[in-house]
Parts: sequence; structure tokens; C-alpha cells
Amino acid sequence: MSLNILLIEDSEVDYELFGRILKDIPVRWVKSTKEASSYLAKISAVEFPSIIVMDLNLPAENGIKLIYRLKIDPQFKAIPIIVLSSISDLKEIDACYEMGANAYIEKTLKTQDIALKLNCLVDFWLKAVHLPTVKDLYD
Amino acid sequence: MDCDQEPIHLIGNIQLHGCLLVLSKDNLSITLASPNVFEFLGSSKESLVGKTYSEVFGIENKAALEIKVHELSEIKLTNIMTLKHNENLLSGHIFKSGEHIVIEFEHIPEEEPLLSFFDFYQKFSDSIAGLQGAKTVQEVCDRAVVEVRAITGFDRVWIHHVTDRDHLYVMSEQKREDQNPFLGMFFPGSDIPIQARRLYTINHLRLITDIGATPCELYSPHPLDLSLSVLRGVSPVHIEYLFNMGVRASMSVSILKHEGLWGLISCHHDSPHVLSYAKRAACEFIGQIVSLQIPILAAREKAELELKLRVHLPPLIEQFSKKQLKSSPAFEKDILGLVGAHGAAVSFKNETPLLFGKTPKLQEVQDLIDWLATKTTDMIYTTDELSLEYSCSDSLIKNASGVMSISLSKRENYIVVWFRGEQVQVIPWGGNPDKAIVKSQDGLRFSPRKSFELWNELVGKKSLPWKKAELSVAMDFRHSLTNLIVDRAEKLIVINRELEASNNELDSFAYVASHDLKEPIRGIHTYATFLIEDYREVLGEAGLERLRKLTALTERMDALVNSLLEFSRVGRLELDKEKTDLNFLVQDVIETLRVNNVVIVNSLPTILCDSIRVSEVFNNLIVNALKYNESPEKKVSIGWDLIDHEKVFFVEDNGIGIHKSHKDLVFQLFKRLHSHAKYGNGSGAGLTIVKKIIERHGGKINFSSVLGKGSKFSFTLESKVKS
Repeated sequence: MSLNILLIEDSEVDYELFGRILKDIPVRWVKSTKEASSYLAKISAVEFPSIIVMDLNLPAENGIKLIYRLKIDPQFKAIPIIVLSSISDLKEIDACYEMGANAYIEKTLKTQDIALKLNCLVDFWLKAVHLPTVKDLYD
Repeated sequence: MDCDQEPIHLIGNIQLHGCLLVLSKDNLSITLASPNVFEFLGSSKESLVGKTYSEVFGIENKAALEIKVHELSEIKLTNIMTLKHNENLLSGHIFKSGEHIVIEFEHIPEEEPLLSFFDFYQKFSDSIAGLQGAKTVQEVCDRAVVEVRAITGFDRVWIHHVTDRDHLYVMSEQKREDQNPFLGMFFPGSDIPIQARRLYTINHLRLITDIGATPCELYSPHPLDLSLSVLRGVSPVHIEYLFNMGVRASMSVSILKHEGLWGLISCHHDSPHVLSYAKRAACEFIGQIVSLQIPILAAREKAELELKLRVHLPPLIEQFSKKQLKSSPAFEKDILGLVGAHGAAVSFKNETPLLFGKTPKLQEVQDLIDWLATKTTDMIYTTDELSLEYSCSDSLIKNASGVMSISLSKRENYIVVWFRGEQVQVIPWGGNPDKAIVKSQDGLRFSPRKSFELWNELVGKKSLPWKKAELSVAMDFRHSLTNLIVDRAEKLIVINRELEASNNELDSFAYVASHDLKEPIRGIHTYATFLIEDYREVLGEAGLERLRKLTALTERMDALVNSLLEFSRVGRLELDKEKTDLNFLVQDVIETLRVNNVVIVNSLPTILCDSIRVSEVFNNLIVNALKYNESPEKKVSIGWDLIDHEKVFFVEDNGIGIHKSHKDLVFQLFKRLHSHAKYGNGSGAGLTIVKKIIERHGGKINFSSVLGKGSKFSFTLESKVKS
């Protein structure tokens, strides 16, 4: 089981930035919650992402609803969700945690700042942490 | 016994110009006859008592009496009939007294027969026309005394009016040449005791033919109510009163207004004076016409005066509808003329009252207005003797013995007060009013005063009374102005609501716009960074430099958008208020900023506030105080003072100060007073946000500054409560 990230992000430039910073980690990129849902539905348990990194301001449906759906679904609720958004409103951030998000990272403007944060993210979630074994939970 | 308590209607005797029979109600048998009955009926008392009415007067007369008795009602309390008995032509005055019917017989003189309605009208139509043609109350009274004197031949006929202060004021008089005038004099109200007033309102004419005559005792086995009698005997006190005045015979005709006694037409004679029933009926009729005329004429006089006063109303209302009252000779003339005042004051909210004309001193007016505010509960307050209710200095008595005030708006403390100066008056009394009634030497009874000589009383501390017309224009004035105020308040509410709506819209616009701007700014920034990373060689140093400038600009733009976002958020946000110890709060801010040149000079209080937002306030002010500071030893002092019951906080620095000309720019959004290079970066939103947070708490912020020395920002965090 290899480490991989599901990135839900509608901005092309942010996807590119994400790729540049994370370099060799496999990223599955989808642009909307709908796409994310259908992707997750069709993959087998072994292909489940290690973590989900997602924006909130997404076309058609706000990301927060997807967090809720995933966190009440026994199949996916163990997968850590890290929100990566430019929203700085404390209430909206709290709302994400309330829905079950595991972390919230603010997308700040400066590229270096983001790079620093994303590297921390990888270090923590993909290197330091012992992630749940999704298959076991499912079975 | 007090005069007011003497039961004069139960006196038990009658005067001599008539006789009296008491009949039982059910069979009309005679139960009592006055001892003087022979003189009128030709039959002795003994021959009458015990007989039925028809036995004495015949069956036909009995039937006639029954009809008359049947006609008596609550409105028609007495009735009159004529009767011929033993060659005597008699008038019979009939009324009920308890379970009895009373008839009072008097002779009808041949030359003065009882008149039919048409004859009566014929005879008195000129007098009636004269009374109806009167234009004023004074005129109708003057004409009435002339008519009554002509009919009755009394020496003196005069009208006295019961004034609001319960004095008897002699309005009109006709008299014998040689007599001393009463005209214009005052008599104390006690001259007509309460129970006498009651009798005057139900029995409209009272004749006393001779106070010197010994009355005819009735020897009634039970008290006989003679309230409705025309023969009723006279109380000893009243006899003494008339005697002291030098009067032998008198007559009084009631003038009524709204069921009460407005006044009396009084007639006096030096010698005994008998008056036929017909003449008395004519006088009573005159009294009734006067009673009808007085309210009509009084209303007309009031209306005429009102019309005169009302001229001032439109220009006054126009002035009051303006934002600011402007004093001008024309305005002063109108505001004083409206109610005939000497001075006036207009007080609005806590502003210094505006004074017009002759008024007490400003401080006195202010104190008086405070008192009037509690007093003017019923829309209008008036007095013509302020010193009765309010402790008055000489200057107040002189300028404000008369006060009228109207409250226009309780909430705004909006009061208009008019002043009338003291008017020292000489009141000519008919005898010393303090000795109107004196205790007799044995202390057992009261006697009327001996002297009716002119006794002048000097009355001060009083103004001329406020007339009804003046009161009613003042009320109209109040009515118009309160409508105006209500209109104004309503308009203000609408404007405020619109303003609030547009503010909310602006806030949401700012929020949405800034939010949506963030993404593209990020895009531009990131692509520029990619360009710098990927095309370093191709771009060369010049190209790279421009791209770096581009990213710097996006950073600035991002900062502006964030400030805008924060600003609109502060406006929309619900404050989360809790009790907060500001010492801890400020200490936290200082520690977070990692600065060591900030001192709290006095221990800060604990207040109710949104601690996160108030932290932002202190954070911003401290950052500014240090940022705009070139002193070698930067210093910031934080503290508070209690000023006018308000907690005023301050953040004071020894920085560069703020130029006077920049005073209004300091709190403007995105206004920076210095270039970006100088004093570090900032979006220019900090103080705007500070101000908004403070205002959301109901407080206010301002600052004082000396250029080159430092600035002091002072603010409150609670809405001002009136103590």
C-alpha cells in the first residue's frame, strides 16, 4: 500500500503549486466534490487515498458538505481530511473541524509560506503519523 | 354652630307675606296650617286642620290641585295656581316635602295679576331682547341689573360672581344715588355658605321681605323641609348679616352655570319690601336668560381672544419646525404674544435653554425647568402663584409668579415655558375678609362681620391669571408641535433603516468582493513566482526585477483585501460580550507583541466586552504607537480615567504625533499618512477597524496629539448612560 493523496482543488495554479512542492508523492487531482465522490465510489479499498487535501471554495458545491458526507460514511471516515483554503474566517474554520476535518491550513499568498506549510503537512501526515489501515476498518 | 352646617332648610318658620298649608299626600287632608292663615284664607288655623282639601276649597279646586301635584317631577319641582277663596284672590305655590304636599298662599294684588304666557311675553319682550343683544358677559350683567331694578323697585340691585378663587366679585350695580357703591368690590365666598348655595341651585329666587318682622312659627310636629319654599324664614346669622349691612329687605336670583352657582342678582332695600309673585317670576325669568347667555357669551369672548392670539401660531410653528430656533424680534413677539406672557424659555435635551423677553436668571430658569419636567405630566402646567408650590427667590417672584409650561417631548426633554411677572393687586373687599365671620363673645356661635367698609388688601407674589383662551392656544401649539416632532422622528427612523440596510449591503459587498478577489490575486502571485523560478535565464535581471515588483504588488493587494475583509467582518459580527479583566487582556496583548516598552499606569477595570475584539483594539493602538515613533526610548502608557461617570481608556505614546490637518483622515479606511517605505507596511485599515470595534461596543474614540511629542488615543467601550 503506497502513500497517495487525493487533492480536491478547482484552481489549476494551486494544483501546479501543490505538485511542485510535493514532487514525488502521487496525487490524484479532482476539481469538484462531485468528481471526488464518484472517484471514491469507484475505487477499491486498496486504492483509497492515504489522506485527502481539499479546498472549500469549490464549484457547484462547497467542500464542507463533502467533509460531512465522508466523515459519516464508515468506509471513509478514518481517512484524514486536511482543508487547505484561503478562508481566514474563524467561524468557517471551526465549522470544518465540527464536520470532522482533521486539520486546517490557510492558503496564504506567499509561495514560500505555502511551501513551508505543505512540507510540514507531508512530514506529519505521511511520515510521522501511523495512518489507519483502511481495509481493516472496512472489513 | 358653623354657618356651613346650620340646617337652614329646616328652620321651622316662615315670613309673613304668605301662609302655608301642609297636606297629606294620600287624601289631601290638611295636617298643618301656619298661624297667620286667617289673613289670607279667611279661616282660622283650627277650622282648617283635619279637614280635607275639597271640604275647604270645593271639589273643583281639589281636582285642579291634583292636576298640579301630578305635574310635579324631578325637573318641575314646584307649581303655581291661582285660587279665589272668601273673596281673596290668591296665588298658590305647590311643592312636595317628604310625604307631604305644601301650598304657600300669597295675595295677588289687583294691579299685578298673574299673567298668561302671551301677556308675559308681551310685557317683557323688550327686556329679553335687550339681554339677548348683549355682546359680553359684562354687558348682559349690566343690562340685567337695570331690568331687575326697573321691575322690582329695589334700592340697590347688583350682580356678584363667584370667582375661581371663591370670592364674590361685584360685576354690575344699580343703586340709589346716595348709597355707597359696591361695584368692583370683593366679598368673601363664605358670605354665601355651602348649604345656601345648594338651595340657590334648586330654588332660584329668594325673597326676604323684612328682617325686622317676627317670623311666623309653624309648630310642625316633624321637621319640615322648606328647601323649595318661597316663604321660608331667615336664619338668624343671615338676618344679622343683612342688619350689619343696613338692609331691611332683600331678594336674590340665581345665575347658574353647569348646575353650579355662577353668581347672584342681589337686591337690597332699606325698608321692608314685598314683591308680588308675578314680578318675582319675571325676575326669575331674567335670571334664567342671564344663565343661558353667560356660557354663550363667555365662549364668544374666549373665541375672540383666541382668534387674536392665534395670529402668532403659524409663524411660531414655522420657526419651531426648523432645525435651529433663531431668536429675532419677530419671533419673540410671537412666542410671547401667543399666551400674553412677559418672558419665555425653550429647553431642548440638555442644551442651555433659550430665553426670550423678561425671564428669571438662566440658572434659575434651568432649575425651574428641571422641576417643571416632573410637574408637566398632564401636557400643560399653569400657575399664577408659583411661590405656593416652588421655593422662590425675589427675582423668581418678580419675573415668574405666573408660569405656564408645555411638554413637547418627554424623551427629548423638550419643554416650552412662559413667564408672567408679579402683578401686585389691590383687592377692594367689602369689609375685612379675614373677619368675615367672627366668634361671638360666648364662643358658642358665629357672627357676620359688623363692617362692610372698603378694606383694601394688597396681593403680591401673583401674576394675572392665565385665561382659558390662552390655555387653549398653548394646547393647540403643543398639539401642532408634537405632530411635527412625531413626523420628524418617523422620518429619522426611515432614514436610519435605509442607512442600516445600505450599510449592511456595503458590508456584504465588501465581504464577498474581497473574498472573491483573493483567489485571482493568489493566482497572479503564484504564476509570477513560477516565472521567476522557471525562466530565470530567459528573463534576465531586468525581467526578474519586474516580476519581483509584480509579486510585491500582489502582496500589497492581498493585504488590502484582508483588511477590507476584516473591516466588513467587524461590522457584521455579533459581539460576544463577557466580563473581562482588562489588565489580563492588555498584558496578553503586550506579551504576544513581545514588546517591553509598554506600561499600564493604573490598574484597569473589569468590563463587559468582546475580549477578542478589544484585544485587537489595544493591539492596533500599541503597534501604531511604536511604529510611528522615532524617539530613542519609545514609550507607550496605557491607563484609564473616570470622566463624567464614564470609563475613558487611553493609549499614549511619545511618537511623531499627528498633524492637525490630518485630524479627519486618521480614521479613514486605507488612509495612510506616510509613504509605504516609511514606518513599515500597513494597509491603513487598522484605526478604521479600531473605531468600528469601539463603536460596535457603543463607545467613542478620539485623540489628541502634539506634533513631534506624541499622541494620546482616548476611548470608551460602553454606551453612555445618563446618571
